[in-house]
Amino acid sequence: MEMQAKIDLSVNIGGCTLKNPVITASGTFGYGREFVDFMDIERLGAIAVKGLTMQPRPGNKPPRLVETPSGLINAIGLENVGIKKFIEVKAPYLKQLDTKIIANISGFSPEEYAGMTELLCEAEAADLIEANLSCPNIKHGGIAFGSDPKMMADITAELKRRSAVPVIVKLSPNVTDIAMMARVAEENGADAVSLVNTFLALAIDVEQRRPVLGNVTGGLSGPAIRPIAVRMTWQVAQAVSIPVMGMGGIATARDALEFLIAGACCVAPGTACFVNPAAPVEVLEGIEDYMRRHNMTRLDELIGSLSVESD
Amino acid sequence: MSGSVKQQLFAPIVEIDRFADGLYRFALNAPFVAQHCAPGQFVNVKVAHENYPLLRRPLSIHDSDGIRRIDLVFRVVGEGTAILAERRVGDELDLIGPLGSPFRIIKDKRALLAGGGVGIPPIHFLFREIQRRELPHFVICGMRNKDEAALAGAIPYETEHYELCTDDGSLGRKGLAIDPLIEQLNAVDPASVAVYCCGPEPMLRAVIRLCNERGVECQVSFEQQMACGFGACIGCSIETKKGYQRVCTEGPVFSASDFE
Repeated sequence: MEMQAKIDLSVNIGGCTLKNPVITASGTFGYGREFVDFMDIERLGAIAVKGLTMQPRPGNKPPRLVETPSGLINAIGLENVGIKKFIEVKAPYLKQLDTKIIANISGFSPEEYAGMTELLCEAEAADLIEANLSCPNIKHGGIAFGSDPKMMADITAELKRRSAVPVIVKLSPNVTDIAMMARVAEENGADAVSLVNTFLALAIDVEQRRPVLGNVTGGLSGPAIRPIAVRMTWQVAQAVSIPVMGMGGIATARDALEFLIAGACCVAPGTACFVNPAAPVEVLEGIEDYMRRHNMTRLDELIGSLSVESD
Repeated sequence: MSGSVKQQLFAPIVEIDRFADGLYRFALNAPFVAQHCAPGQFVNVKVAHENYPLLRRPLSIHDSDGIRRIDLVFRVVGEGTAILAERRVGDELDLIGPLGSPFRIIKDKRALLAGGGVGIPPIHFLFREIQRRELPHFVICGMRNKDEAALAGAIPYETEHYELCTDDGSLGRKGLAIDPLIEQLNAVDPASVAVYCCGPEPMLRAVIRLCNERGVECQVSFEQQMACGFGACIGCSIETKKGYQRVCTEGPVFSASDFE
């Protein structure tokens, strides 16, 4: 019998090596610990924690969730413990795990992004920093930064100056030209871009003629957005040469493969984790199985392998 | 019994009882849940095989034999529960559980249990536990009409420690469950009883007000739309005196003193 060639799933993000391309999407994986009853979280390439802010945030007025066809609109409002408590209470557990930790941060000014980055780096509390420039659920929050090229440029450059670890810029899909925004991030030194954040959405209670969510609007995620996220990933991967981390409605390995083939080097099941908390590990196993079936030994053979030429 | 362990598992349906219009009792073979669940806890059930509806549906546990069987009781209220109601005996349910913080039984106080509508299942499970421990108790169940009597399950509501109310008076007393609860509280020293309640939100709010005014120890179980059910999404939070609290994790059972 032929020896099975060993599959190398490792991915390099700005000098940080992830053992495989399966990560989690910030905001859908708590602080990691919530999932230990369902899978071995150390099998993941990286864990992106719930978005952090400089000060603790209580979050938005309920209701915070509404289910839509194959989708979920949320307006949590970046409820989180704040960066200091994260470093004190949550990070020690995460640090001892055999996986990389992505700290997702949201600021209300470039200075806040810089301050949080310094605190995280001093405490060595993260292997990678993901700048959320695109949360749709907080007023004056990241969304303005994520759709303004000048702000994105300034914040990215400032983060790079302050950070001792690679910087990922999370892109908003709520822009006219996401590839242009990705280029701005790249030109200002971002080590990677991640996309997509949620799509700004509104659900209406027609009997009351009132918004369903306490926050009026929210962010749409889940399988409903996947084809748009795949298209955006494909466009961004063609526009930049830094790594692209793909997310948006990934629930299965088949879904994840679309993003990899479109050009993503990492994939993050997000909303799926709420429904099937073992989804990330199932996605990982499915990717390995696919590569074996297609006689691939390196992830490079898969990433960006989409052929659009006519035969 | 413990509130700290949970699993995702497949549980075959062993019995289905459609006992009133839109009301169902499913008995499942789910040893892990049966052995680890406590009254007030719930399971989060995947209703569709596909992506629609996307989210699981939280269902409270009506009974457990402590060995292998659990009973779930639910009302068809929307698309998700309608799909669930089409399941047959032998089908497997994909569920996560047991979830949430259970009722804390106060041993040295007489238990006053009050359940309304599909809020009765956790009260039923709590009644079974209190009965098993032979603690003094009084149970009140409120429902729409006599067709829904099976909501009360094993509660022998025609005897002196129980009162059943229906909206239309077709069984038991006509009116809301809160009326007999007030009578019970009027007759005793507030410090000697503990109230446990689950039901529609107006009932919970009324019971919270009543017990807080009288200084009666009280626990209430809330319902809220949720995505994960195990604390990750922070979507099911409700407002309490301690700030926003997750119904799935800090709840669904809260102390009435956490509310105004």
